Order: sequence, then structure tokens, then C-alpha cells
Amino acid sequence: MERLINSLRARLMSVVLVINAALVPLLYLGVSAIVEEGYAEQFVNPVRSYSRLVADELESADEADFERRAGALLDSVVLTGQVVFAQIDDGQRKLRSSLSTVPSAAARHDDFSFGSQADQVYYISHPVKRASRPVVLRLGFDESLTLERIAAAKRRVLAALLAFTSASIAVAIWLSAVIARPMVRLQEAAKRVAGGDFHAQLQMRSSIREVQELNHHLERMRQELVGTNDRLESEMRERGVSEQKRLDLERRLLHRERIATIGTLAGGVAHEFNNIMTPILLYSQVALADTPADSALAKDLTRIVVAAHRARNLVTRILTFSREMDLPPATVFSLRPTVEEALTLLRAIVPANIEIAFHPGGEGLPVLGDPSLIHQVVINLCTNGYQAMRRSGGRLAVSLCVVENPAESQIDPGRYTMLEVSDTGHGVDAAVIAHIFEPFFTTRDVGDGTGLGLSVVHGIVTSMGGLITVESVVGRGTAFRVYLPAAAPPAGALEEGAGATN
Amino acid sequence: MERSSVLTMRRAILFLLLLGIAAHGRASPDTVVLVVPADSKVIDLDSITVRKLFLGLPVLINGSPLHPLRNRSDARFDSIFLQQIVAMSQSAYDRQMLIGVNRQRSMRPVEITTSARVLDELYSDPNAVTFMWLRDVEHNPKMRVIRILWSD
Amino acid sequence: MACILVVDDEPEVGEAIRRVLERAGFSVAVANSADLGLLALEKDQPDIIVTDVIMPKVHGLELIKAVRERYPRVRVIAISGGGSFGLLSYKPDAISTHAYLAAAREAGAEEILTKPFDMGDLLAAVRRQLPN
Repeated sequence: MERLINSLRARLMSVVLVINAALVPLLYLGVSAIVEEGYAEQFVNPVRSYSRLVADELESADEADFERRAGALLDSVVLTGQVVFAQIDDGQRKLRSSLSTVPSAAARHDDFSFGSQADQVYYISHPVKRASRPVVLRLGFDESLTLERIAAAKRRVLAALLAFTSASIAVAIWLSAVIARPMVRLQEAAKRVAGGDFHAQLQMRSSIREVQELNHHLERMRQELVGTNDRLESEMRERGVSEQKRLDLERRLLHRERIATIGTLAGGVAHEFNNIMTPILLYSQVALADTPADSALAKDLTRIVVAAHRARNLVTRILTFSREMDLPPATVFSLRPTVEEALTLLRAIVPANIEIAFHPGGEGLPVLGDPSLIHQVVINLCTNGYQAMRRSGGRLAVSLCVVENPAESQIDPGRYTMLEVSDTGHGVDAAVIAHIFEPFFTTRDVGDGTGLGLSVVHGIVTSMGGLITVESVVGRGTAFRVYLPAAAPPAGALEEGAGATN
Repeated sequence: MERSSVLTMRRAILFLLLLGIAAHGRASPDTVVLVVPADSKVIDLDSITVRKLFLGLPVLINGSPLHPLRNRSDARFDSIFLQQIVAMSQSAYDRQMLIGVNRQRSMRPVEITTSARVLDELYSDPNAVTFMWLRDVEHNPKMRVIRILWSD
Repeated sequence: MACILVVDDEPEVGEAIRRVLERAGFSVAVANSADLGLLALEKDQPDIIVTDVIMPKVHGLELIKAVRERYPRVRVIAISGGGSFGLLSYKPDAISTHAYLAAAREAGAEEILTKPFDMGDLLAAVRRQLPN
């Protein structure tokens, strides 16, 4: 505050002082000249007339009584007060008024301009033509009074100018405070805003209109800043939340898929493995039975049998693990809530350029199975669909409907719930469709997916006694149809099944 | 004006004056005289008439008007003219002239700035009246000194 | 001497079972598919049929059903690989051993064995089903 006022004051002051330093002497000199000229004029004009008048009076004076007349005239002239010297010189004699205050010897030559001599007397002489002999009238006028007046006037001018200077300095000080105070307030408010306190209102009360306007504009700017800031903050908050949510879901989905894959692998491998283990176990047991019990061969064969048993137990344990993870007991449930839940999950994951539409088509029929597997089916099919549209964007349509005796040849007639997942992606050709449900078959880049998604879907659907078909047109899109047979539930089982999906 | 500018001028004049004194010797002091052509009908003019004349008021001698010539060939003549002849300040004289001319009662005296032209005018106009240094007319038979206007 | 028909799409499994049963004194025929199994049923008139449940083309289950229909006297021992769960993608038809074995019992199989089974378990199952 102090610093700003001081610098502002110093600046204003220097301006004021420079102006004064230039102006005051000029004004003083100018005004003084005018004053002096006026006073000189006022002095010179009557003095000249007066002396002329006296000279004319002498010229016309009677010759006989000249000396007495002249003496009286000179005294009378001096008695006017302004004349300090009066003398008549006829060449031989000088007749001088005894009232003259200036001695004869001090008389000088004529003056032609006011105040030019140090003795402060203005001398005028007039030759007076007379019949007998010419004389010279010499008068000395006192300049001191006029000079004093001039000096007084000049003093007044100087005083006025000094008053002007001090007034302008005072104005400079006042102005610097008046301008600085709102600026300091503004500065403080700006500091608070810069420091993060956007709600520090800018209030520069000032009588200066420009400052008021500045305040008004800055305040509007601040309010806009506050608005923008709030908006940005809330956007960032929302974005952070949704981003977190998305990552979380993605992680969960990935985990689920990984578990499903392990289960799939375990199941597949176990089947083959068990087929291989069967002859190993049987032959080694036959051989053991044919071998004397205490022979070395019997011991070897026993070791094979024991190892085979261990292998069997291992597989059983792995399968038990898989079962615990992935095969909850089958329940009767409604598809719709499960599909809806899966879509909720998906909406958080798919890019914004892909629209997801769900057509529930009524409640559908209850099905028998595991809701979490249906969940996986929907996720896998939809993921497959949006991968096909990832770049171009498009529409992912999921629908449910009840179908009586579907036209598909592979399944039995009856009542089915059909789940259709269609996309408007790039589509696939017939060669791809032939292998689409094979494990590890993928058209995606390596690392982009497991290649097991659709085979898992196929496995799940088939295990539930259903059917999955695919129809695709290159460049138009792909549609998967899943037919799930309707379960005949006992009363109340539907609610229970639907509840299990939560 | 009367004071400051005239002051320096006055100093210069004084200096010139001293030079003039040195040249002529103390014997002939500076004297300004009123002169007319030798053939002028003017015998004498009193100081009031001289004032009238140079303030532009008509002065008739034997029915014919006199023609005042204001001699400005010497800077000192201006001060002497104002102080001795018209007895006014410069501004008062100017005002007077303005008033008189406007009322068409008077005519501004002819102003001449060189001595030669002053002489020419005097030689050619028997009604002319002017002033000049006494030393310039003392021995000139074509001119007549009417009266002394100023003497230092 | 009782006659036993073994049906399994894995020849090694079939031969191993034959070895066990022949050693125990049974007369054994092996078929490597359900179709061949049906033919052998007709030809050999076995007392017991040991069949895999999960096989390509004609299902073990269908074979069991056929046996129940046409040869109600023949006892069925159903065997299957794998544990209790598997999305057996290698063989799209065979989803769950667990489910199929359950289905096999439902279809009329007298005995259920899970691969790999012990020689003793197999012989015990066969002996249980032998007509006295």
C-alpha cells in the first residue's frame, strides 16, 4: 500500500514539479513584464504631459514678472508631491525651487524611459522659448512610489504562483492516494484470487469513474473465472469418478474372463488328460497284478500306479477349483435382469461413439442355468460386437424375445428365449464364421483378447441346452442369436432366480 | 516596453552619443530643433501649436495647412518626439492617433526614416515642418530653425 | 462266459479296458464309435456294455437309450473322461461330463465310472452287473 502510494506520489509529484519549474518562472516573467509596462505607462504619460504643461506655462508667462512667476510655479510644481526637482536655467543662472528635495548637483540628463536610473528620479527638460532669452525647464519626478507598487505587484504575482505550485503538489498527493487506494484494494483482491480464493469479491469504492468501470470489468472477469473454475472442477471430479469406475469394471471383467479361460482350459485339458490317464492306470494295474508281488518290477509298477493316482487327484482338484469358481448350482431365472446388469457394465466400458440399445421384449421366459454364465455370454458377445465397431463407431443392439419352435434345424422344437446381439461393424466372411467358435480363434490383434470369448460363449450356451448361431455380412455387421430353452419352474423359483443375479 | 527594452536601447544610444561627443567635441551639445524650409511662411510656432501639428490637427498659416514630417531617421528622435513634442507615452500617442484619424479630424504625420528623404521633403514642400539635429541644419541656408525642442 | 462290449472313441482306452476284462476272463469286443457299437450289439449280443458317454457323431447317451430300448437285458456301465466341469471346446458336443454322466444315469446306465478309473473299480462294477 505504502509502496504503491509512494511511487505513484513520486511520479505525480515529479510531473507537477517539472510543470511548475517550467511554468512558474515563465509566468512570473511574463506577468512581471506586463505589470511593469502598465505601471511605466501610467507613470510616463502624465509626467510628460505635466512637464509640457509647466513649460508651456512658463513660455506664456509675462516677461516683466517672469522671475517671481517662475519661482512660484516651481514651488507649486514641487508641492504636487511627485516632483522632487524643479529648476529653470537661463544659461547664466539657475533658478531652483527651495522645496526641491534633490540638490542641483545631483540633476542628470533627461530620462526617456521609466526606472532606468538608480536614483529613482525621472528627469525631463524643456527648452522654453522666450522673447528675451531662452531658458531650460528641468523637472525631476519621483519614481519610487511606482517602483514600490511594481515590486508589490510582482510580490503578489510570485505569491500567487507559489500558491499555485503548492496547490498542485497537494493535488498530486491527494490524487495519488485517491488513485492508489482502489488500486491497492484491487491488488489485494487479485492476490487472493491468484492464491486460489476465487470468491474474494473485488470492491474498489472510488469516485473515479474509470476506476469504477475497471472494477466492474474485473469483477465480471472474476465471476466468469469462478464459474469456469467450478465447472472445470466438477467436470474433473465427474471424469475422475467415471474413469475410476470404468477401470474398476474393466479390471473385474478381465478377471472374470481370465477365470473363465482357466476354467475352460482346465476342463478341456482334463478331458484329454483323463482319457490318456485311463490306459496308463489300467495297463500298469494289469501289469502289477501279473507280476510277483515282491519283484522289483512290481515295485516299479506300483510307483506308476501311485503316480497315476496322484495325477488323477491333481486333475480332480483343478476341476474342483474350476467348479467352485465357475459352476454355481443351476437355478431358474429370468434373463432380463441379468442382461440389463451386463449392459450396465458394458456401457461404462464401450467408447462414446458406440450406442448400445436394449430391447427387452417383455420379461422373457425363465431359463435354467447360472446367471453369471449368461452374464458372461452377454459380455463376450457385446465385446465382440464393439470391437468390430471400435474405429468406425456404430450401434450395438441387444434384444430379448420368446420364440416358439425356432427355424434352426439343430435344435428341438419348443419354447425358447432368444437373445440377439447385433452390431453394425465390419462383419466377417464365411471362412471366419466356420471357425468363429473355435478356441484360440481370433481376428483381433495379439494381446487384444484371449480368442476364447466366443468358444466360451458357445460352451455355456450348449451346456444349457441352447444354441448359438451367427449371421454376418461383410461391411454391414454381425448378429449372434442365442436360443435358450425355457425351463418349467416351480412356483416362486423365478423370483429366486432373478434375485440371484444381483 | 517603456522600461526593459528601451533600457538596452538607451544604453546603446548613450554609447553612440559618447562616440558622437568624442567626434564633435564638447563644444556642440546634442540639440534637436524644429525646422522649416527657408522659403516657408512660418515665422514662429509656439509649443502648443507644435503639439497640435504633430498630433495631426490642422494648422493653417496664411490659409494653407502645414505638413508635419515625423523624422525617424535617428532612433533617438522617437523618444524626443514623444517626450518633448507630443508629451505622451508611446501608447497614449498611438491611441490619440487612432482616435483622431478615426474621427477624420486629424491626419497622421508623414513618417520618414532617412535624413536624405527628410531633406528632400523640406526642399520640395514649403509647407513642411520637421525636426532634426541642430548640427545638420546649422549651416544649411535652405532651412530655417524655428525653435529648440530639446537640448542635452 | 459273459460277453462285454466296450465302446470308446479313444482306441487306447478301449484296448486298455479290453486287456483288463479279458485278463479277468471275460469275452470282450471293442467298438470305436457309437455306430459301430450298435452293430456289435446286434452281432455279439453282449451281457454288459461299457460305453463312453461323450463321443462324436452319435452320442453315448443315444447309444444308451438305444440299448435300453432294444436290449433291455443288457447292463450299461457309462464311463466318461474329465471331472465334473468343462466347457469342452475341443468337442463342442461334449460340454459337461458331470451333466452327461447324470444324463447317462437318467437314460438308464446301471453303473457310472469316471476316467481314469482303477482296474478294481471296473471289475467290481462289471461283476455287480453280471447275470447270475
